[in-house]
Amino acid sequence: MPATIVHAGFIYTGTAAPALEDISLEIVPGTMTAVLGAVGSGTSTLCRLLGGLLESRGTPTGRIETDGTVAVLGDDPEAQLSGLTSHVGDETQLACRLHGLAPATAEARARQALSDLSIDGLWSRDLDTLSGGQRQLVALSRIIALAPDLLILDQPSQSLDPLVRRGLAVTLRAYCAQERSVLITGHQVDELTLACDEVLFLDTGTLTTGRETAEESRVSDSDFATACRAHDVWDTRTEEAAPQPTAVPARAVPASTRPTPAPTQPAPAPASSSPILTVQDLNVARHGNRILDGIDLELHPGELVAITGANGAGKTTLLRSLIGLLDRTASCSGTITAGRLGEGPNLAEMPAHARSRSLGWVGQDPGVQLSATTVRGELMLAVPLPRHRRRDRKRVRAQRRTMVEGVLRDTGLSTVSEEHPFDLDVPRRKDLVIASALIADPRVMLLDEPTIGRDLLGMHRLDAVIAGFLRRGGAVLATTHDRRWARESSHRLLHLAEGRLSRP
Amino acid sequence: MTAARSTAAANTDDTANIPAAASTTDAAGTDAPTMTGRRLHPATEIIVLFSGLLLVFGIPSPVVPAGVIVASCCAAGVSTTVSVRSWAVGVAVVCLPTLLVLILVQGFFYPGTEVHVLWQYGPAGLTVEGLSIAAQIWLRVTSLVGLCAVFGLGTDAARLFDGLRRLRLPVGVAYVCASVIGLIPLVVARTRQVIEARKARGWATERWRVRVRLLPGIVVGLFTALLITVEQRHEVLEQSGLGATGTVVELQDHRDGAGQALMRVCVPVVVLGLLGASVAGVLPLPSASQLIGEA
Repeated sequence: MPATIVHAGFIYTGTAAPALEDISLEIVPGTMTAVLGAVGSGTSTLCRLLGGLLESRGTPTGRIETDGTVAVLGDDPEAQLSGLTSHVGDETQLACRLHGLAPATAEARARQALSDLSIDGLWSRDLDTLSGGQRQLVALSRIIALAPDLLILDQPSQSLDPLVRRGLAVTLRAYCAQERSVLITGHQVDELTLACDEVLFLDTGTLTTGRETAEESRVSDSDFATACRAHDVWDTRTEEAAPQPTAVPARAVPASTRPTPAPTQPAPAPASSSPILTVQDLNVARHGNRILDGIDLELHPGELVAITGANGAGKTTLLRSLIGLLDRTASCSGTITAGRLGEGPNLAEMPAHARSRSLGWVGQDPGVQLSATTVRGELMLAVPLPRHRRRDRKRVRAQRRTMVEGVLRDTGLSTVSEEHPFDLDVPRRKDLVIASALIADPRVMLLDEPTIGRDLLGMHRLDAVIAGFLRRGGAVLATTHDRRWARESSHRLLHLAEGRLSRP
Repeated sequence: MTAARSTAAANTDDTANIPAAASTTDAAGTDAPTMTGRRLHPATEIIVLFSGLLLVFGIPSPVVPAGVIVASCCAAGVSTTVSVRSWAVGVAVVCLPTLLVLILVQGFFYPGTEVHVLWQYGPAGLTVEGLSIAAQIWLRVTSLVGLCAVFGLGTDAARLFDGLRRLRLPVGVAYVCASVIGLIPLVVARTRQVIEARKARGWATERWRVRVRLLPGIVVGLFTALLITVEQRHEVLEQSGLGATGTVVELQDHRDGAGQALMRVCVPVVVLGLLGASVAGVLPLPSASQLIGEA
């Protein structure tokens, strides 16, 4: 038995309420288990507790027995690399070498792990050149190379596109077939979750007694979807795959933290012949490779356009090229106009700070876009104050404070306004970056993977913020791997492949 | 196992879309992570580095640091991992302002009384003694920076870790030193990302005035992020087995042998011999004041 947990719990030092309480779970060899729950339900704590990473952080209760080796992959791809190596090959061998394996054996195992995850082509790549998804897979390969008996993965699929997720699911099933076990935790139902033998739900630190197995869920999709909703887990399956439940059980969630659920279908975009962003023949190349090839795009007021595409298709590059944040190795050409083509200045010829009057960019990793010590401080300093005379400074600052209060309210961040941004969960951090973009009052928002790591409430919060922005006449261009959100929330869905945009 | 679809050619960040095929092997067709090439073992490099610094600061002649600077430049030139341009830019950024300050402070305002004045205007006087001290200090600083730059730019944390472990340093000490060198690229990347984020919000960060204004916030955020990252990385390494075995393990493959082992012993011995000769006054190297006075 790789792991047996009997009435286990955990209380973080300095907190009164237990993060986990009375958890009993048996993880059987050869099985893949998923534990899902809302953000803050304790899924990450469960991972770390099982992995023995919480010894100095608080008080465990109950009994946890693990038979064999255990390895944990955390939820933040940026934090899963050791920082000791520069290349994929070195990183993948690291654990094996540290455990004293002979160099030849370590290399063979590392190459096999990369091959199992079909990323063997990355062997010589510099780690700095990898995307978030690739980093996640490289970190996973470092762990798999050691072949632990129990593999614990916290939100392993959040940066991966659906096809890679399906492939990873198959790989993990094969891993389990060697009498090893995999435990996956997260806030969303996806391809990995559905490949599990058993899906459990964690609700504010308590594992629910009612269990839904993947096999049962295939028989009763509707019940499974109902259970997901009841536990505030976001189901990424499209409507065809996951029928809506007939009744959603009401749960005791404070009204202030539960925004109005977004409608299944977005409000129709107001008919307008006048676009607020026009992109024509946008090309981006790097090291002789064409990444974007003649992109043409129009965004109209009140419109949300979602862009899907595989990892590495160039979605992030598209958004960064629009805001002007491409690095020096990239060459960019084309026309970007805030309005109808030819009506306004070409944004492509402007520096990024000048483009920000029209475009609000929200990057993929929120942590690197925050630098203040409080949420409110971040918003106060997010955007330069408008030009003013010295005698008007008080008035201008008061206006900024009022604006910040409004944005805090609109994004549901009022209750955490005095907290440190790094103390927020990842979706909240993303909300904060969105809020800082809203302070600049742009006409178009560029959102890079806004749905990563969100539970159901987080998705509703995101939909509410976007809906408010669209109502004010703005437009949103969002990239995402979440096909359900893209289909249900966007007015137009585009697919980026081989540098070109097309309808899926 | 069944394979997941390859994301080898895939990337989503700004450094993305470098073709995997091109990066799988280097130009010589050798796998980069395990490549040793002509490089010395990192332990040998560390010995050479410290021996060089001992020479520079132990022998009071500008000839030694000048020689070390030339040797560093040559090493950067022949190195496959360090570009001469980045080495030169790094050294220039640190050392040229230092040179100006030294000439101003030591060259023009040397406090001694028995001096040879070359030029005077009011309280400022250009003296041989001041210039010789300025030259000596600058050459030493530049050789220190140049030597460290060659080593630092061509070494990642794992390489340093291996070198220190081979020199029998405890795993904890080696880890701390390696972590510090690993933080340098992290600081650079995080700073770039934070500045990008500010730029995207309307801050004209290409202006120094704006950068200075944003600096306090950026530094505080950076410091917090670094603390968190260091903790996360340590956790990852502990999980990966850091210190799990009592034996010395190497994280990378390095070329080593009896020749290098001998070198690691002989180089310090030779350096100590030279220092002894210098102290005894049997090393006929000119001092800075002699060189400037003769000129």
